[in-house]
Amino acid sequence: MKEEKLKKIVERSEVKTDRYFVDKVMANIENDAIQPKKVKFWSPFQIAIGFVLVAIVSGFLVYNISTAFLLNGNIAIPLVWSIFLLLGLKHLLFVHRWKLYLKANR
Amino acid sequence: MVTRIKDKDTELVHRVRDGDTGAFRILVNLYKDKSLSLAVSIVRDEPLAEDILQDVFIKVYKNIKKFKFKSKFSTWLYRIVVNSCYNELKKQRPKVAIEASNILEQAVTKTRDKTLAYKDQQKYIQMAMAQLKTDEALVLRLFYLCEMSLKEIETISGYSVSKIRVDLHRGRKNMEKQLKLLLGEEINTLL
Repeated sequence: MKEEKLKKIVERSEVKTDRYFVDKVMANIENDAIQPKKVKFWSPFQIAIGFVLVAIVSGFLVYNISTAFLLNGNIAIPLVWSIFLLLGLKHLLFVHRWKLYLKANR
Repeated sequence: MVTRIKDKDTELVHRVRDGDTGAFRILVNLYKDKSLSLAVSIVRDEPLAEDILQDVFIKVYKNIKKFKFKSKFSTWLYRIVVNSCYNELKKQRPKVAIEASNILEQAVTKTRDKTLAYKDQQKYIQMAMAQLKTDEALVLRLFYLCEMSLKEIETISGYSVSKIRVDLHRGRKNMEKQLKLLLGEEINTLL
């Protein structure tokens, strides 16, 4: 089959969209623009993973920083670490409270 | 001609970036049918392809500021279409395979007595195209319908140039074979 003929054949294989296709696309875009952006929260699983990671990383950092300045076995090491973890936990509880507040006011 | 289209696209993209939704409507109108043809080549299901395309155009509108003008707008768009279709295909594979196999059965049972009308010709051509392998149909449509160069097809599909050449060669042969199978001698009256 000649190249020209094949080109015409393939051109004729073009599939046409639904006549309202463009209107649907534009309506979807406008709806998307009107809707306020949803606040995305972490799932409980992601929070748990995050908390464990924070505990490990902060524990490592606090231990190394503390040993650089304090004697080994000093009470400040677990104390500073605990403060870090409690601050992290406080933040997560704050996020959770906001989540409940936004759900109730939706 | 190609430069003019490219310039027109560039101007439209700039207007869309400035918040002109009318310009985006023009872009959708320009590329909707070719994009749908590419999507159908991959997913082999027209309603599904249209749904994918709806999402693609919304995605394009949202991310148009990420378009860097390193390629033609059409190349960027078709690449998103192809990637979205392959992602969808991973979820839909079993269903699509069954639907594609039905097309030939329907086609072969049709009578071939009369000279084919334009619409019938188009239907048979689409049926023949549906019988080609995904890669072949995609490459044929990108090359002949979208008038993309081999390099651009490489960017859009992710295939190597040598594979594209092979797919083009096989696609041409198989297209002719399928049309002969569907139309018999009528193939000479085609076009």
